[in-house]
Amino acid sequence: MAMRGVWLMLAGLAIAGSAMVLGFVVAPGAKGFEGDSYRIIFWHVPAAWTSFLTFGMLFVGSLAWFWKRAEWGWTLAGVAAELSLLFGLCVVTSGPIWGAAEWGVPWDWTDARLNTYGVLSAIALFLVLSRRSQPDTPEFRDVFSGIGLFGFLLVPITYMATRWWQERHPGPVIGGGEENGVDSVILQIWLLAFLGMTILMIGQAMVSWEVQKCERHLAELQQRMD
Amino acid sequence: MSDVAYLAAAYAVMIGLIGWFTGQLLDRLRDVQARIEAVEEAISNPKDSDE
Repeated sequence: MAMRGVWLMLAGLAIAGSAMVLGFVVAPGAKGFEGDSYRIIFWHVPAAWTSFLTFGMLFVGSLAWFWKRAEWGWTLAGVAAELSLLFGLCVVTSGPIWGAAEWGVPWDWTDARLNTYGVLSAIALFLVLSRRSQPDTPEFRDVFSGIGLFGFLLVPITYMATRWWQERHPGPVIGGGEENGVDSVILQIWLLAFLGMTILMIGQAMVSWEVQKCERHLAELQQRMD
Repeated sequence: MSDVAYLAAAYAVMIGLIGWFTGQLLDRLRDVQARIEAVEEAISNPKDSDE
């Protein structure tokens, strides 16, 4: 499983990397944006979409632990928390750099999309740090899963934020109505990057799953030795 | 800073994050597999591990 995960990671990186290059070389300029800084979208947006998938995995894992006490749910929640943090960090670091270029300020505290996504990433950070620092008890698993479930509630709010309260973050260009179309070449490169990031994330999830499985096996062996 | 410099900085940060995360994931896998091997060897040869 781990080797298949490594191959998937390499394939995902190659596809996402190709999309980045195509975004620089092939994609035309975007309406409403001056200069080249808009080309950040070829990774920034797919990273955000991928993080929504990982928060979905966190929700499923947390629910499976909370409801069924399923061990696989606990493993999935741990894998998903780490991946949510990774893709969340990609979004909250690249976004402000683009914001500094486009808006002149890296962050707007009045913009709902920025703030809800920032809270989502902070939840992922809290979950990863707490899982590494706290003893693995049923009580801790319940608290972790509860926060994981709460975190997922922010995903639809974050997704809809630019429709409900658009302040500064660009509005939706896919499914955002007739006025908000996107150039077909840009869209194709965008979707290619999303495919690459999704494959990369699946590969990372497989390797992370194997790590957690091995860590559990190691703990059992050490208990047997004691 | 020019547009391209901001763009390069943003992609460099994302590539760095993905590279760091992937690297530490593979390191953790190698580390835990090596520890499992060591413990299994200690269990199967208890005398060797005592010496």
